[in-house]
Amino acid sequence: MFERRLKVLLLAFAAMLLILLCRLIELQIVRGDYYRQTAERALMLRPRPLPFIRGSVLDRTGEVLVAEAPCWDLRLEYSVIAAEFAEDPAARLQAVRTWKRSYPQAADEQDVARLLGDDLRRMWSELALFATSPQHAVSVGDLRARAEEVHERVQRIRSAVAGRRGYDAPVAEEGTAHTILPRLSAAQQIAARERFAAYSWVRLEPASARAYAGDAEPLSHLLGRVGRVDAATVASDPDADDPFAAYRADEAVGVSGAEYAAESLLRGRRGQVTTDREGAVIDQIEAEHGKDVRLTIHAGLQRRLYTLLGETVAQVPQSSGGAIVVLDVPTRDILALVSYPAYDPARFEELYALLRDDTQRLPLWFRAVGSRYAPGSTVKPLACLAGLFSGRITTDTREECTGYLLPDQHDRWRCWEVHGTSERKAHGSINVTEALTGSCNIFMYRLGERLGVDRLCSVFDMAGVGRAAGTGLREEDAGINPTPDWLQSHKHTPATPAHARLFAMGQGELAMTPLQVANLMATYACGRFRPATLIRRERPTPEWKLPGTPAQWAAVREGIYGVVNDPEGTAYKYAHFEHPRVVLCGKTGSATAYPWPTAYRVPYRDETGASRAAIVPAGSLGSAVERFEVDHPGARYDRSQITVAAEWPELPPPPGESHSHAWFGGFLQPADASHRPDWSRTPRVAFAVLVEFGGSGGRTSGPLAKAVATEALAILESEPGFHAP
Amino acid sequence: MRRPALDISPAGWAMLIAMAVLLAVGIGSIYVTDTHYAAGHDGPRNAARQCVFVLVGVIAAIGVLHGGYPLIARHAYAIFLAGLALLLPLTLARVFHTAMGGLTAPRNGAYRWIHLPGYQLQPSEFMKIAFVLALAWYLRYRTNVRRLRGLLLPMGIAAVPLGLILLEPDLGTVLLLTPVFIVMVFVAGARVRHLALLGLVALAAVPLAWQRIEPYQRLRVTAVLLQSEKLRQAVIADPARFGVLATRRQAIEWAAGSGYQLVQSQCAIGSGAALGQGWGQGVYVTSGLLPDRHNDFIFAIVAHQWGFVGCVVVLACFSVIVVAGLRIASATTEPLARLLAVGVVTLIAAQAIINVGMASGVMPTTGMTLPFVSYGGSSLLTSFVGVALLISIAQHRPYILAVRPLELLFRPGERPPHMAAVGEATRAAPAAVARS
Repeated sequence: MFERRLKVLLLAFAAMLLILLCRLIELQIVRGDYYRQTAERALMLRPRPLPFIRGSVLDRTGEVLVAEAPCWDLRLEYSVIAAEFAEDPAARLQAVRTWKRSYPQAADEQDVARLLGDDLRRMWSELALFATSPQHAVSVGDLRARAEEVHERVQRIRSAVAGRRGYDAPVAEEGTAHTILPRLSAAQQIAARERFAAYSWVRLEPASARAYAGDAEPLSHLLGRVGRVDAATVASDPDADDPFAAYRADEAVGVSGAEYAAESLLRGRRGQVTTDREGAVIDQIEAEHGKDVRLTIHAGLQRRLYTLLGETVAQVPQSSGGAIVVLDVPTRDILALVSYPAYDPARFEELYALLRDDTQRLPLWFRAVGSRYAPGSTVKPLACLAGLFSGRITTDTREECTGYLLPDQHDRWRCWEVHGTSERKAHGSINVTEALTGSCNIFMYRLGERLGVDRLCSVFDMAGVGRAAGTGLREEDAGINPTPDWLQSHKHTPATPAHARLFAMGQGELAMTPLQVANLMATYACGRFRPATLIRRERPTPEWKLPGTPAQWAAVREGIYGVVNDPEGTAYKYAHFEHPRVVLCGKTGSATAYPWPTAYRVPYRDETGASRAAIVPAGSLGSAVERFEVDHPGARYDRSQITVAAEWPELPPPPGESHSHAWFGGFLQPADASHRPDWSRTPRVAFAVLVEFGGSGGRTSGPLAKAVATEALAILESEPGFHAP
Repeated sequence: MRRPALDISPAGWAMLIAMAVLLAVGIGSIYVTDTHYAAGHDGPRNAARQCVFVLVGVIAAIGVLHGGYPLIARHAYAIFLAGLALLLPLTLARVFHTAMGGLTAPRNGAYRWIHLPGYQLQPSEFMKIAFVLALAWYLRYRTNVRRLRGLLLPMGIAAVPLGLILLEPDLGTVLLLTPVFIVMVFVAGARVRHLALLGLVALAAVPLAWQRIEPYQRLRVTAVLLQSEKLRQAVIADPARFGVLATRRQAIEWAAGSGYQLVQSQCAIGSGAALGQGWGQGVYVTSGLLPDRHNDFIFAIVAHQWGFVGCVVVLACFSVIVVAGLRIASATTEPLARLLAVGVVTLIAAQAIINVGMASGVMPTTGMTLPFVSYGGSSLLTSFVGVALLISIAQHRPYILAVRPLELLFRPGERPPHMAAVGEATRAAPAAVARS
């Protein structure tokens, strides 16, 4: 039996051998001549990538915000760049071998090297002349820096690829041409073509570049930028083995904003054209262009709100900027995501140094999603909901506000009324609804004590605090939900009742972004949480329902309604308005703000040993040190001696007050015939407004919120398919 | 009873000569691909390293011959567990996506290597031998493989390393060890109908596995079909209907995209024609058109240089190893040795068949080396140990047994053959002695 089975096995092997032999006969004997010819031709073929066109970014109405516009790029073959910048003499040799054919008159390789060297020198000086002409205005230094950067980038990519593959070998980038002068017009291209006709390694190739339609400044952070691929992107490229999709050094890639978030859609697949030595096309694979991406943003609304915010910030001397976020409540589509100040994205490169050095207004910050602030009183409704969910308070629970929490310490744990502008000094006996309308701190302190940090933070978590907001933006910050674990690991302190008191009124370590506060308002409005959406999708993100009975939610919503519509409310004076179909419900917030450093004083000794000091504009100690070392090479300094030289705001707060960020968050509740809110219907629009160092939330942000609400209604109502109530 | 360690039997000599030819062909091809790397590459290092690996392999083989296969087989389970212990960090690294400080850094997304200074260990290579050893040790005295239930435990033993290797992912090694397992239980006496049943179950699981594997792995399987220009045109014309083969875009990009390696490999083989381009000659030697040409696709370079004649020589060498190995298996009477020999032979033969099949485009591309020819230390060492085990088995003269092992498998209700045919079996034994 064993013997028989061995024979079966031998037969099986023989059968497979036969199949292989047949295949080899087919390949080598029957079609051998064909393959010989193909192989000989293979070396003559010159495959070249065909670029794809990056997709456009559209707003929700279909308006094009940014698209590719055709232009011409002046490119240099990599071997020429390497010959100039590589330290390894092998690079020059490689260039000589590559361009040997251009010098048929040369006797040997040394002759070619000499002729090529002459031509390269001439080419570089011609290129310098061409680039410094007023049309391009690129300095010689810049030009060489660009070429050198290409060389370094390709070498970085090569080592990154070697790390991934396990062995070092040339990468595709070393066989292609790289852009030195981008975005030439048709006329410039013709001039360049004539000028560089003698140098076969200078290429003028059709390309495209990002072009912004209309007023793009209000959208600058949101749209983001494209930049050249860096080595880290190449090293972590999931499509690295795909020759049509893998990142190439010369390609544009989204580095921030929607350009980054929607990269996988905006990117297409390259094509390939194969030519023979004479340039005749043998084979062509067309590129697959990138897809257009539709944002949930309403560009018209975004532009209008940017203007409004700019006007408000201009009126507050100490304000450095602000943010406005408008959401569609049922889907959490982001209708507007305004961050002020911003910049003209088309001029980013020329403005960059200015923008970076503006440490007072920080125009590069994407405040709406990327900066975190104490949310202040805007979380008070959430704290009340936490109390109601847990049963620690009921809608009838009353607390006595005397203006301060502790009878023997009148100046700590105060209610804002004590030092506020109101004539009354305390709220008296109040329930949840009244506490929210009057934004009473004492009620929240007691509520915090009853709940404790753990219970509060678990409800904060349900409302998305401490979670990425879901837009996919790289700039997005998750905020801080200061759970007992977080306090232990980050502040090395256990959770105390004092923490709970502060968190219940939106202070302390608790931190949220404007987008999160806007989403919180949407959660108040409908009782459900759902991550926000920036890039339009077929199905909305999954949502979850918060606990609580209708009566509990009604009590809290009535409180929010009262803030704007009850004469006792903190924003009644500033934000109340009459509208036939909606009522504005909202919550003010004045969150304690700490000034940020804008410049550092660095004492140092220069080369001669003399003591000096430099004022370095920077937003943090780390960047101050970095900039100082670049500007003062060789100087000796002691890091511990560096002090803050200036901070923003420059003016101290009014006596008895502290700096505060002015918040206003709200939603537009459908109203019934008697102008009362109809709680049975879900609102469409929720929003958050923040003015940095704006002072009182009601006074500064209230009027802005009123304008935001009316503008949003006016603009969105005219939108087909969007039925604001 | 055994011969002295280096007094090698004729079957052993045949194998050694075949092995030497394959090594020479391999080092010759690695050397020419080394010297023709584009500027900036490491230079002719791989050939020198391969020579060092051969030396290490020879030393390991002599060690195996000295120790003898029974000593090694006695520790089969320990070796198996050690192999698993080497695989485990890779699996953990894959599951938790950590490179463990560079020690298990993935390459092209696969966690197959433990990066030691100066050497990259590939545990799945060593697992091949450990797998055969453990299976042979387990099956050597069993008769219950005749029953379906008796097959379950060996399947369980096999499933552990296969699962770990599948996770790395290293589909090639899994596709190799599966036939090795089937052949070993087959010669151990498993019933054909049981194996067929298991085959049917496996066939039923194919659609599920098809869903689970990565898209690039799916494409490697369908790539065998996509070589047909007609089929690619069909995909381009009607992507909805032929979507299971490839997307429209993949069909368009074929020759420069997912089919590039296959197209180039076949062209390299085909352009070798009958007599080849000559050593160190030809487009595919002097240019970098064919990636992986010094390891997984070395057969294409061999075929390119020495043509059909060279291919026949290489395949003949493998045939010699297979035939000699099976003769050794048939000559010995020790059940363990029989199973071990069949396992090792299948291991080498299956690797050769799959590797040549993939290079010539009749089988899906998997990461599989050609034994003795491809560049790679772990693979070479494994092959050397395998052949050394075969020779060691040949050294041991067969026991004269009343009944030849693994022959006594009787049907329920039948008289056990060793009760009926003692005389017959003893008559057969001297012939076996003479043969060895």
